Amino acid sequence: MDANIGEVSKLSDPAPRLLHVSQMLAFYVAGDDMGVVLLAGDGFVQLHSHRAEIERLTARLGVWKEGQADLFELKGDESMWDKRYKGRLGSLAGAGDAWWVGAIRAGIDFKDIGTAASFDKVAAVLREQRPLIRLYTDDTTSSDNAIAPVELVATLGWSSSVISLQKQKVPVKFARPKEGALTWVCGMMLHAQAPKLNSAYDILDSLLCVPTGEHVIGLFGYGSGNKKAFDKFDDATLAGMGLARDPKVILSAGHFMIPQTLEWTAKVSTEFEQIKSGF
Amino acid sequence: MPSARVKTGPMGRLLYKHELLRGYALFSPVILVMSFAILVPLALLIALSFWTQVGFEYNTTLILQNYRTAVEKPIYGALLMRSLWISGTATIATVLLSYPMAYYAAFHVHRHKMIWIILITLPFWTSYLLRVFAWRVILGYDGVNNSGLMTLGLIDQPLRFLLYNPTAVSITLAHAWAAFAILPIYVSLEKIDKSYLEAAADLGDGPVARFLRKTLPLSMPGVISAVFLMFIPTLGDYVTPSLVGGPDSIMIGNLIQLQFGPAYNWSMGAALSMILVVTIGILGIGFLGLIRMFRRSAV
Repeated sequence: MDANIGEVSKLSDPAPRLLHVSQMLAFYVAGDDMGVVLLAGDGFVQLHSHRAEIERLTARLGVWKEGQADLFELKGDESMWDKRYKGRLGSLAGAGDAWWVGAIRAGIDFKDIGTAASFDKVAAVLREQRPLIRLYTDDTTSSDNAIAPVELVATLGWSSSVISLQKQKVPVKFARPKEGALTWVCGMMLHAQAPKLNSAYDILDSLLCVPTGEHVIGLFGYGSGNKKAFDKFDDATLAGMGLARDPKVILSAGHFMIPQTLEWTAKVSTEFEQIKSGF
Repeated sequence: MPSARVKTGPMGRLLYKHELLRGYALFSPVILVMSFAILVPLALLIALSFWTQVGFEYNTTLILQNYRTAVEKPIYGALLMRSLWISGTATIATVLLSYPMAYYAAFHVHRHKMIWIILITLPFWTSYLLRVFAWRVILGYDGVNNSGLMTLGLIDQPLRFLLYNPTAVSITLAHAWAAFAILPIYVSLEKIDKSYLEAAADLGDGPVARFLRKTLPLSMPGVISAVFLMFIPTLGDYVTPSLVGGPDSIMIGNLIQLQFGPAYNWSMGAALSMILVVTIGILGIGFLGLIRMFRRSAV
């Protein structure tokens, strides 16, 4: 189940295997959730020479309510373990996000995240965080409703939350954690027996075109796989969304999620559910 | 003029002679659908619960590993108990609150009864999710309750205990499923022969005694139906605790959903589902037994 960047190049293979199209979605979806840590994704997918080097940026950022000035001064993931904000912090409900933020907190090198020792360390820091968390949710409405009236002072959330709340004049900001970007590749599969494998290029083209990029950046605050899409926005707007004109600026200082096995994913999901339940 | 004789085959004659057989024949389409739609999936679920998940594959050796895990890990027992508590309190509250409404509709509404029934069920014409969300609007940090209390100057800060706790789940469930309690109780009360109540009054029973000796026992079928209709589905609910419960209100349904979702352990999910089914079965039998004891002692 490893999804290596560049695997999409197998599309040109006359008989592709089960193809992990994470990249396809990733450089489109760009965005996703994120934590205290700036999440951004990078990747180069060699499709054809004329498509060459497709970059995509994913960025979901911690949402912070203004009026809690000290929060903005907090150093990255430390803020999500700050006991002063007990009961006023939120987190994403999925281990697929929270576990990696916990790994950064625990000082785990992502290469070692699959080891038993790392598992225990991450579980320990997430358990330490548990009493501080008022709300675990993957539901944007729930987190937006909680952050808007300062029920929560900070939460891991989707970048679209910040854009949406800012448009409603709710003073929220992205966090600027010291750890920099947490980067990853989202998952999407193309079945080996799919009848029109080459139609995947149409999807890629639609995902990569400038209007799509402009849409996902402007509406959701996500990144785009097409650099030209960023040219539709001025620097201040991009900075407000936690994005940079050159994705590499963000991507060069982050942690890249490493695809893990299904067993690992199942194990951390089960463990995280126990942690959330107070066990 | 001689009456026309209808020719019937052997099956027709058989059905004509045996009333029970006619009943089964009428039931047969439902039984057929139920067999395929419920019993077959249930059998698959039972089999699945004895398998073990290995990555994307199953080890189809029939073993008790999932059940052993469910017993050994405290989270499963604790969440089951929590679910029983939340669902139980919601059920009791709903039945207690629904009974007077059903009673009033059955005994004191004489004109436009259907309009009353429609009005009672009106909130349930909306989606279940919307009803749950409505409670977030009511109980939320800047919700109706807090805004009202702050406007009245009764509190300075919004109350944080209204939402994201087991009580919020119970309240939401009690409202979201109320129609399923009101209607069977109403039907049960409506069917009571009023002459029994008049006879009890003639024999000297006051309103309270009449209610306890006649109305309540005669409406128990509706109450029992309401309890089952409410308790069984809410015990396995995972949407409501997800939306209004917070971390301290995770129920067994959430864990089952996890197994069929991100944890990708369908075997474990099946085992937990079976444990839930058996628990409901035992409680249901126990509840019916209690009712029977109550009736015998009342006679």
